[in-house]
Amino acid sequence: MIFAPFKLTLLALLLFCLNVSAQQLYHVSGNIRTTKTAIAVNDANITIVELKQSIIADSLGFYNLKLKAGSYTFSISAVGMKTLDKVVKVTADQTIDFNLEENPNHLNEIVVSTDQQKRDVANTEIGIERLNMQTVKKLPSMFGEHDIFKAIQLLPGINSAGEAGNGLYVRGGGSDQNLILMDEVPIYNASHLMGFFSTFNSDAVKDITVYKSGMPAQYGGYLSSVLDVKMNQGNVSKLTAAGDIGLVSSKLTLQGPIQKEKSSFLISGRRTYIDALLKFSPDKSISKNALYFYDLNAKLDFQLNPNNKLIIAAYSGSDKLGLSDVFNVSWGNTVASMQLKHRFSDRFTSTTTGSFNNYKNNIELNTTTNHLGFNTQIRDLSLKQDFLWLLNAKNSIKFGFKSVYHTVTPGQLDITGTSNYNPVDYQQKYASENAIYAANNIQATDNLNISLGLRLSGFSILGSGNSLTVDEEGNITDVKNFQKGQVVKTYLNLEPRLAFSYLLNPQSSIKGSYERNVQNMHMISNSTSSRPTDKWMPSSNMIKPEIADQISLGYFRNLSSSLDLTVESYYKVMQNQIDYRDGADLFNADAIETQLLYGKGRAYGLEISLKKKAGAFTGWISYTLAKSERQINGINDDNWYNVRQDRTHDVSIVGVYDISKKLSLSAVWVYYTGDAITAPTGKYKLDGQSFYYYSNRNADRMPNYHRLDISATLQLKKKKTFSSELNLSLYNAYGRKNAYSITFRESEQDSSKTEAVKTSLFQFLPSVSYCFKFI
Amino acid sequence: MKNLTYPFAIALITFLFSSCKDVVTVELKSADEKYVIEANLSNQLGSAKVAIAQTKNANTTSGFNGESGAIVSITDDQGKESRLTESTTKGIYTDPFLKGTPGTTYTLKVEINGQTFTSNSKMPAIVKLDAAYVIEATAVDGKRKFTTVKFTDPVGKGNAYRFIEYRNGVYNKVISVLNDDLIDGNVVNQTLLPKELTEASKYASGDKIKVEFLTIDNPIYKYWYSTNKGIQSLGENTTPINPASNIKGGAIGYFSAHTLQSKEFTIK
Repeated sequence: MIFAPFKLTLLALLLFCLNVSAQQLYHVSGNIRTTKTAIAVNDANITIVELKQSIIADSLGFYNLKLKAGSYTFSISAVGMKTLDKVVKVTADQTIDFNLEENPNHLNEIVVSTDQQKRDVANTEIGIERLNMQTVKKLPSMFGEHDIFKAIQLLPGINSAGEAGNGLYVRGGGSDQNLILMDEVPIYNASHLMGFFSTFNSDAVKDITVYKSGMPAQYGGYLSSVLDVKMNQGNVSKLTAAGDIGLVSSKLTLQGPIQKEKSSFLISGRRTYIDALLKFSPDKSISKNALYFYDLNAKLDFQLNPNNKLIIAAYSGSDKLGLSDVFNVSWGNTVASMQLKHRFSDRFTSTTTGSFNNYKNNIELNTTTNHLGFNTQIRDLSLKQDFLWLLNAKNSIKFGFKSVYHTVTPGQLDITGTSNYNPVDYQQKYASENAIYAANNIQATDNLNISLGLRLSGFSILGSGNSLTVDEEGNITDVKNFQKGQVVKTYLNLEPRLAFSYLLNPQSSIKGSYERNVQNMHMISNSTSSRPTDKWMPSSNMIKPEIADQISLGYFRNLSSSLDLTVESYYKVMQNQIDYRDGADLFNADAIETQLLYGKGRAYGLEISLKKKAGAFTGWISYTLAKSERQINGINDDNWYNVRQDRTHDVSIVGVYDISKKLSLSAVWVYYTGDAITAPTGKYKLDGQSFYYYSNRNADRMPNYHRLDISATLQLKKKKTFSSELNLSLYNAYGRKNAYSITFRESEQDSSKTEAVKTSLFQFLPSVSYCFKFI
Repeated sequence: MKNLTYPFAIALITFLFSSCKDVVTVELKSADEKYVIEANLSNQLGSAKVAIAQTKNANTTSGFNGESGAIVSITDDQGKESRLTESTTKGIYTDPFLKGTPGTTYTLKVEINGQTFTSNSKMPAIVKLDAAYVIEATAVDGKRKFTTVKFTDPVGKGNAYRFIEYRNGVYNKVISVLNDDLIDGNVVNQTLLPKELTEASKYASGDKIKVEFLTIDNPIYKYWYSTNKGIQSLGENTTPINPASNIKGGAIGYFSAHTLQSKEFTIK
């Protein structure tokens, strides 16, 4: 039944297509690039003003249209670019290239000047947010780092994991329920230093697109969102160098042509140097301590010929924490990918991506009695094939497949000297994840746009190894052994994706969407702080795929040429949500199923945002009213309970004011309801000490959170070959002591009193960063 | 140069990453009272002790308020029942003639105010405590001394241990347990940690250290392990939980049948 509307659409499409080809039409195609660096502009929007039709160029900057002979106004716009209007006379098949100028004054949305209302209001995008790095760099920084993950937390429906955390909670989902893509390759742990920094080096990032709902069918595998981060591409015409010197870290980026106008390279590195300060310690045991992280991004682009482009990208990032020679922890991602974009014809293009991802965590311990190492690892090998078929200006089809082979090493204990422990090699987990999809965008009438998609995902758990059956009490009732390559179990799921927009008048529209998402890689964690001990597990005989169904409805209105109002609401139900049993053994990596419970979740909310996108003063106000709960038998007496990040109210106000070409000021104010916590509801004496009794999970609240950040960016030099900028920021400008955590204890003065102790971080945190560019 | 830069570096790090703690008001709700049962039986004569109380509001005095009038019995797997009687302390029930035998499963039964609570615990075999001694090692705050316990885990999984440390006769309130998942069949030198790494918890010369070494069954291991999780998790933004009790009927607490050995030494 689910297929039925899809089939109909395809049929309608085909008929439409035949109809169109009967007329005298010409192919108009070309590339969209930036003026300065001649880099392809991704996903640029092209509107043919006379026809009131828009299409989006592909990620190669390539567009393709079929038009009748005549004169047309092309209006081209893209994130962070000045809109370009050009009149084109179509008399035959022709190639027309467009060069767009960068416009740092643009905030995060695409603006179409000639047909201002058209794009935002009329397309089927709902629950989608975009931010480019130019905007992020104008906002206040923390530790001198302009972190794109911190910036998107200022958008409606996206919450942080507590003070300065990088874990993202989108529309009531978990921090592991986001598909984080770095140039199409999924990243597992996207944070550094317990979550205070993201793995995305701001000098290497171009922009981010967040899908909170209406995920296109080519994305899947995670419940809450898709965070599509695009990295910069090297300059094909000149060699340039740029750097950034901050309080705790520095960055350097080099880019330039390999073969002029044809191929380019980009290499960008970042390293923190807090530990360099430790080296100055006269105490040898301290000077040997380690505390740092680094990131290295590299990208090579080859325009092989007009129809083929090859992109090779690599990333490596790692954290190191060490206490003298005694204790060392290191963890990080290594990613490599190769992508071939091929144009079969002007209407049919293909993108093939092969990638490798290795997420590794290593703990070393060397004490008098114990010398050991503990490793966990996830290794993914994947192949992705996407086809884009542009039928005409009103109709496009995307289809393709994805195949991933996962190898998960839950734990390996190596003994390196005297030790109490025996070496252990916990059973490795193997799984094959496959999906096929098709999606179709149609402009059904002048006012109605429809996007239909369907994804079929399959997850096969493979041998070798044991598959456990666990009863409700957490006891193992059956163990089945499987040989290498044998299929233990396959989960198949159909994921429909539907979205529409209906233009009420040229200024306003309503939009709606429904989608199902399925997740088969699960992070099992008992904390909101991102930690290297967080465990990723594939679905198993007992761990079922997580499933989320979401419906959204929105109202969009252009209040003036630069002011947009968006109101969106959503309701989401989730199945097979996972949590630890009370008293679970967190280090039991072998039979983790015995420590888990499963249940359901629901989340709903209303998001309102008002954005000013152009002019000297830009910014936005966003407000979210939301609820997110879970119900898991065996937890909280089987009753529904709030998730920790359940925030009733969440407000962000962001303003950027360009006083002159040289100076811009910005400020960010956030306010939200305190996190849900569990406070004791009683106490008792046992083992000669006092213990608290807890009865209602997450029924209490931390104090409400609010904070103001301010910053000033001053252009120091701007010459043809060299430019430099200084950014001064103050995080938490009025020094509010926001709660990072709340703990309870008996008062030292009066043991009959229970005190709530609030730990707060980062009051008045100033930072300074200096960035420069040689062109 | 090095010596001059260091204080500056430390000041910078401290400033950037400093946290501050304040006492704030969070209104505490009160749940219905629940019975709390702490029941122990070891292989030593007179060790049978069952303490019965109720949970209290979190904002009341923290002393032990025992509950009188309970019928308390411990029965071995041969059906031999021992009735525990209330001692001079209200809510403490004892039997001075009861002594546990390793390998025996005991059943605890408590009847109070129309409610019945039961629990089973198997007293494990004795594992010889070989030695208790002090070592010096590097911790976050520099070098310090730690008590270490030496024993040999018998081959075959399923053994579990608890260590109780007293310094000059005072229990250090650290719940330290270990099971043999990763140490099966090994000679084990288990280092015991203090509750907090403070100056006050550092050993001084002349301190008398006593270590009790218990063999416990797995449900009790789980009880203590989860109690510990409840305490440790508080600072790390995790959800606190009630420990996994081995008592049926809805009471908080545990019934532990264990063996006990001890060693003492003096810090030089």
